[in-house]
Amino acid sequence: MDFSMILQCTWVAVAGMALAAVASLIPGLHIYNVIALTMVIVFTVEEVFAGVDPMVLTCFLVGLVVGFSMLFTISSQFFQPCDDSARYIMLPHEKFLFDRRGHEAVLLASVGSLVAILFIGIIIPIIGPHMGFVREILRPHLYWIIGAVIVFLLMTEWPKDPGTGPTVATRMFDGWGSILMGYLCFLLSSALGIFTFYRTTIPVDAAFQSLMPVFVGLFAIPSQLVTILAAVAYPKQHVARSVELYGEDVIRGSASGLLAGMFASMTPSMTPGPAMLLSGHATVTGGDRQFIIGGGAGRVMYYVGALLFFFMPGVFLRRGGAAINISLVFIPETEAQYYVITGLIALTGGLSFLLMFGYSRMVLWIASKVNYKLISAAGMAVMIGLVYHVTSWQGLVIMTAATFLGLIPNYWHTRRITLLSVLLVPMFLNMSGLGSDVARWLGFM
Amino acid sequence: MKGIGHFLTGMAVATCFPEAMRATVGENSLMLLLGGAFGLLPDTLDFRVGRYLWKHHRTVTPDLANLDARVVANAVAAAIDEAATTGKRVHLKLHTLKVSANYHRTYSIRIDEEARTVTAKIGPLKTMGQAMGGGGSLPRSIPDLPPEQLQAVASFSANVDNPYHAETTVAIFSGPDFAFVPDNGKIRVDFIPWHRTWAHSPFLGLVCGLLGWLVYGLIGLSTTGDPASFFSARTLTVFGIITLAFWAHTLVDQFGVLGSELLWPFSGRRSAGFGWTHAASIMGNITLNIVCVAVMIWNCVVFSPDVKVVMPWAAGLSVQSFSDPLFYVVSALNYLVYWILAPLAVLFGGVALYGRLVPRRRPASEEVALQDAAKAEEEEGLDGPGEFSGD
Repeated sequence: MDFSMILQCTWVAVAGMALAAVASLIPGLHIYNVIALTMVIVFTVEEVFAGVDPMVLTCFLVGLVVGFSMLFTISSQFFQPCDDSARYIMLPHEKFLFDRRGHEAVLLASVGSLVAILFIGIIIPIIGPHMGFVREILRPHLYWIIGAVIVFLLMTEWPKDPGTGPTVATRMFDGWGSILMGYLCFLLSSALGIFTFYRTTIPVDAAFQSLMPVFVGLFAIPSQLVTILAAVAYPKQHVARSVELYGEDVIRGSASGLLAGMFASMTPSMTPGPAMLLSGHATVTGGDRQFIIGGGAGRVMYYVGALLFFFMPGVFLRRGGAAINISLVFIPETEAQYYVITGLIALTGGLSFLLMFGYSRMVLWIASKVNYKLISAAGMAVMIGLVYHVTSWQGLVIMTAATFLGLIPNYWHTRRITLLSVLLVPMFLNMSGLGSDVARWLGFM
Repeated sequence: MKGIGHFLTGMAVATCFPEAMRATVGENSLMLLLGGAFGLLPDTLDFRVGRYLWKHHRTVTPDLANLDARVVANAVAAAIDEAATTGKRVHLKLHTLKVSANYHRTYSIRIDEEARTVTAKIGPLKTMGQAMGGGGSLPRSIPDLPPEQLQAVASFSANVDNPYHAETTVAIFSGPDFAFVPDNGKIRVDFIPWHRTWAHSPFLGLVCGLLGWLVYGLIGLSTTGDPASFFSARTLTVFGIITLAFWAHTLVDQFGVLGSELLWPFSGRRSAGFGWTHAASIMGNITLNIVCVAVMIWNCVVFSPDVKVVMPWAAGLSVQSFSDPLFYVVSALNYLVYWILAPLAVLFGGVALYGRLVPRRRPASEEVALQDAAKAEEEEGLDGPGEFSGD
């Protein structure tokens, strides 16, 4: 690969990161939505991109993924405050927001992100060559590993009632109300997932984006709706010049996040949510700081690390929406490509880290000028428009159904994580050879 | 231990059954999942069923609008004396006080067996992350009350044996349960008495194993028509996985502070744990998880259809197959040293070194550490707070 090509790749990667910074302002927008739109544009005006080297487009998408994985939670931090009525508990970054420390939470997450970028840039190239071997060992076992995650999630759906009812029956009813709603979410999401895999109504030319309306409906639109309906004002935020941070928090939080990211990037259908739940328990993560740092590390490790495995010689692991979309236009072949991608990840990761400090202040400034409900309403309009543009009205129908499902956890105080059965269950069934039978039984075949 | 530790222990136990691994690799069998499910089942039963079935004779729910420590202290002392005068168990439940989605009003009780008093205190607000209330948006953390309402002492006349710990703080989630049990002329204080009772008994593990054996046997009988399916390797393996995964849970818990009712239904007495670790112990949990994952990976390697692994120590052996006992044992020893003991040594060494270089935030006293351990065991079945949402 000649120098001018490397230079070109560098510029487009930085441009991708810049686009990610703009797109990250829309709360709820997911990196895979942006990539999906990019791919649709590429395929729509194919002749424009005919002369562009696929490696250049790939580097643009890599910059996009790196920038997004580090920045996209900042808008949610300030634009989507939590309403008591929609929560059983507040997550740590929400607590920080209400303690006037939202900016501090961003900085803590940035520490986790930086650790993940360092890990990806330094450790992954060392252990990477062994990943192919690990993949071979685990290949026949992946189906039951996914099955084990499903069983664990179901068995740990916990009662949200503190047990204050006067009789056994009332306590049991109160406790099991949220558990059963969690199981209902699980079943309905599983059915939606199987439908999406076997009989989706998305037009054929957009079939490769059939999961997009499902995910927008399950996660993005409900959180935007809840924000719009929220009746809460958070206090004026303090922009800290320093962060209270212990080495132990960085080590334990990052270890938990990296473990989750590695696990998710090696296991089909696994996403950071359930992976971080498992790793948080396995490493006994404690305290809000470790939670936030782990979240930053885990997201970057999953989105970026999984992408790097796709380019790694001898591994070529195609996991996650980014790798799947990139594989439509680019097939990695050489070690040079791998090292260029690794370098670009380090570069855009470092730039994103530096950008985070000012970016957080900028988002905070916007939040002080514009009503967060308006921002969420605008974000929702963008998401709906995106789904319509990419997957047509059929996608909107699926998105609407998914939205109803996605609202259940907010109003029944169940875990949102059970909604991920939309991906876990069909994948588990398919890999264990039961997918067709179940789809036929449900009338989807 | 945390739920994930019990789950992994059960899975690790299941992978040790050759028939299960053969069925997994060859037929996409789901037998291994039985190990995880039954490894976790005792806590699932306790925290999703047992706690609701438990009958409360007395409950304490302080009025948030009129907080008064005297109400709490008197209620606890009266429950102790009731057990002494009636000669019957008295179950007491202290309810938590939820202020908002993030804050709970705490209160604490201390049963002093020597002074025969119960001291109750109204405490500060705590977040769901167990942090003390603070910050600009918070209401005043300690309520503005007369001293007698903030802290009160009530006396009881019974002779009390409180083997577990002295002070209990009622903070988040569900409040603690106590059983005051007449025992040898004293009133024994049992903490969270519904936990680790029947649901953790080896007897129930055996019953579950037999049920699994029966179900698998019946499935075999209906598909093959041969009664011998009740004694097939597959059916016996199911029995073994379920029973041993369940027992592994009880065994692992025994290393903590609380024991289990090991002899239920023949005796309702909960044994004391070894006290070597507790449910929230970082190194205890991590060690258990590393060992379990290492065991699973080892069994995946041994039964891998595509990948042949030769450990360095076994490279010189004439027969290089895991079906050869010598090759298996040498390889296993090599794996144990390189992939289990060495990483654990590095981990423990690193933690020890870090502890020397950086002063740690330690509990104020042994009693506080014991209270933390007790609290951790009380909450071990609650796997929710560490949740990351969505995708």
